[in-house]
Amino acid sequence: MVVAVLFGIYFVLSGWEAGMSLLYLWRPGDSTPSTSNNQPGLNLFTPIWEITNVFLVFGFTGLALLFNNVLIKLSHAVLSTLITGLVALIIRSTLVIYLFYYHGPNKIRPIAGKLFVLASLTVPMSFGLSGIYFISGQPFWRNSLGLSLAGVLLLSILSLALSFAYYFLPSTSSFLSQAKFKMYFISIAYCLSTAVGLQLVINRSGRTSLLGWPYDLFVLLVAAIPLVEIGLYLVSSGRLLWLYFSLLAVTSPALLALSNRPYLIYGRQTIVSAYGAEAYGKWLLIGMVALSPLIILGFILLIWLLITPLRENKKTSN
Amino acid sequence: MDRISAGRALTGDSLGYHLILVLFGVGLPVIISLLEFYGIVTKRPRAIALAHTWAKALVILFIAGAVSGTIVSLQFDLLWPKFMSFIGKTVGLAFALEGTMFFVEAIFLSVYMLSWKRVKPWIHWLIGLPVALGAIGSAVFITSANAFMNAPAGFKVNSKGQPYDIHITQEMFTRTMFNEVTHSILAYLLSTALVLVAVYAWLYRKKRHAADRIWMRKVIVGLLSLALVFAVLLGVTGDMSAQYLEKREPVKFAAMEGIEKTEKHAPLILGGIVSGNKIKDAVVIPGLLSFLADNNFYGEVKGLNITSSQYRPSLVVHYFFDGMVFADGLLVIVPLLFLLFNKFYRRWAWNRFSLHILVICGFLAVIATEFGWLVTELGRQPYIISGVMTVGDALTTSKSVIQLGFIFPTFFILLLIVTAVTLRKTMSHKEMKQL
Repeated sequence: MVVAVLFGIYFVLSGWEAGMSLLYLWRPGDSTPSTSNNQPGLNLFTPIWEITNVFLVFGFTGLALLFNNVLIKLSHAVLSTLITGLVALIIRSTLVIYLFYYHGPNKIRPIAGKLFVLASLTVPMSFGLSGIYFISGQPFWRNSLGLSLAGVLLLSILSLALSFAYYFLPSTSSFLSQAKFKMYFISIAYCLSTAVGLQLVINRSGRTSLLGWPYDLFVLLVAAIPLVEIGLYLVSSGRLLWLYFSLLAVTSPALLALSNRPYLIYGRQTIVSAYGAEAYGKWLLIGMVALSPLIILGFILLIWLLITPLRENKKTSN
Repeated sequence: MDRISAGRALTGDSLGYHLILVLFGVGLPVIISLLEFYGIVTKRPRAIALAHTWAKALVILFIAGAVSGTIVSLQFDLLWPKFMSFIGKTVGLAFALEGTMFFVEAIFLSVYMLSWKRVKPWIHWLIGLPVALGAIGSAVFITSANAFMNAPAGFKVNSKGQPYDIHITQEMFTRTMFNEVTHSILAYLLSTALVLVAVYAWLYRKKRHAADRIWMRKVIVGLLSLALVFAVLLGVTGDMSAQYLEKREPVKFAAMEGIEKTEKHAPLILGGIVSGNKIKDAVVIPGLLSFLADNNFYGEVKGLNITSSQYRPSLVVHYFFDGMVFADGLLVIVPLLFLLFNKFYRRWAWNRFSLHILVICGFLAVIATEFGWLVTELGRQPYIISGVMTVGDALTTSKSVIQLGFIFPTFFILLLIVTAVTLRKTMSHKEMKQL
């Protein structure tokens, strides 16, 4: 469950990064990207980027160490999918350094911005697609369950990215830009809720572990997107929908892992037989608890430092 | 290229690239922290501003390093699943704690960068301490895992090749770990200090104003003094490690020194050309290796013949070992001479020739660190965990590994070029003028 939540946090942060890349580097509706009035938001990119990678390493290392008995199967099944993500990761970091540190934010070439957006979406997609192996017991392209989950995953990441971008879109930006963003965002969110409904039909018709209450809860949470959206617009807080998508991203891997019980890899390996860290599980817990005050302090300071300039910027723009 | 060679090449390329960033990732936070402390205590805003410039460079290196570290971590899991499965059962705690310390470093580096000029100087310096702590901590834990690979201890293996009766403290905290950790961290600190010296020596040549030159001299002399301390300590730990290797990892030691047969009064072999199982045309000093290894000119030194030929590492290790020792020797002599010249014959120290030598030393320090790790890793071959698991046994069964052997190095080179060009811009004259 902890590993699933770590991956969930990774997806939220990845969505944030993808959203930022959409907003600052490739804004639909504007012919050229503009960042001059968004510098505070752009300055947050690097700190978030570092933490995102840490969560990825943490989640994957946790999985590999605690469930070391599945590594051989995992390596054989998802190597090519994960490698695509790793290559995208290198491309994206090259572009981060080039765009943010070398070139400067005001001289961005559109092609570099588009490539950056593509790489930002490819990385979490590749990890998510690899995760489908745990649910379906096969690489995602081998069966309808995997393919339908892949579709849901793509729409989820896009929704998360667009909801972040929509939240941070400055009120001073053009009407066309705002309207296009809103249109993209809403249509993809609605596609997502429809796709999950279709996915549920595929589950019921095939042999799958996704038939318990955790998956039903997941479906309910996704299907509720339109209702939540309408509710938020009624109280004039439509931009806050990113919070709901973040909640979905954090809880979804955990709910899917719960549905998959007692399996870690459906039909192939149970959680109990996959666990292989008996020798040091206790020591690991002690180490984590000992370091947790420092990590919590760091997070509190980081959030405070991140939020303060954003608030100041919002106040100024209002 | 066969699968094993592809797997080796892929991991070797990734680790070789990652190591360049690791040494700065460990060395820079420590040096930045020392500099900021010095600036606060002596009330020198220029020193604090310099620490800020170096911290910007650290962030760029950290971005590239975080990515290569992520890739290395995942490559281990994907390419060497049997190895990771074994390691996960035995010394996985070291990997987990390394990840946690990396977490601490990443969070506090973000806080450190965002809090410049937003909190009091002392508080800012305190925020920087967990960055250095996280950097050193992650280096300690990951090196302890490597020490386990070189000299596994604290467990038994059953007939299926699975570990049991595991004692985690005996696995992690060994003499091998102490030697590797101290030696490698000192190497990172030395390399970082000398690369910074190289950058300022290069920039010094272009500075014409006397005031700029005076403060740059202070920076170079300060860093060289620090580098000299690190270099001497590195020599001491290097000697301790070599003596210990001769006892605990005799095959690796024999490959490093090019000793084919076990003998008393063993010669020290310098240079030469590897030809099959022998080294030709080398400078041979009789008895000196016995003395260095055993403090006795007639002590016995084990040769490669103590193990069968299929379990021997290649003698190519000897090249890297000699290269590393030669470079480390220079890295003690050059800073010492430069500091002496600066004290007594100042004109000799600050001419173009001397400055170019300092620039070369920066490159040499990084190369020596790479060579050191090549000796450690190649000297253990064909094993991935010494005496327990071979590299061939640990590799994934997926055939994609062959194509991957070419893809990653290409992208790593691209990332390295962009990082280097951007760093050059960060350390440019414009930044310097702001100091």
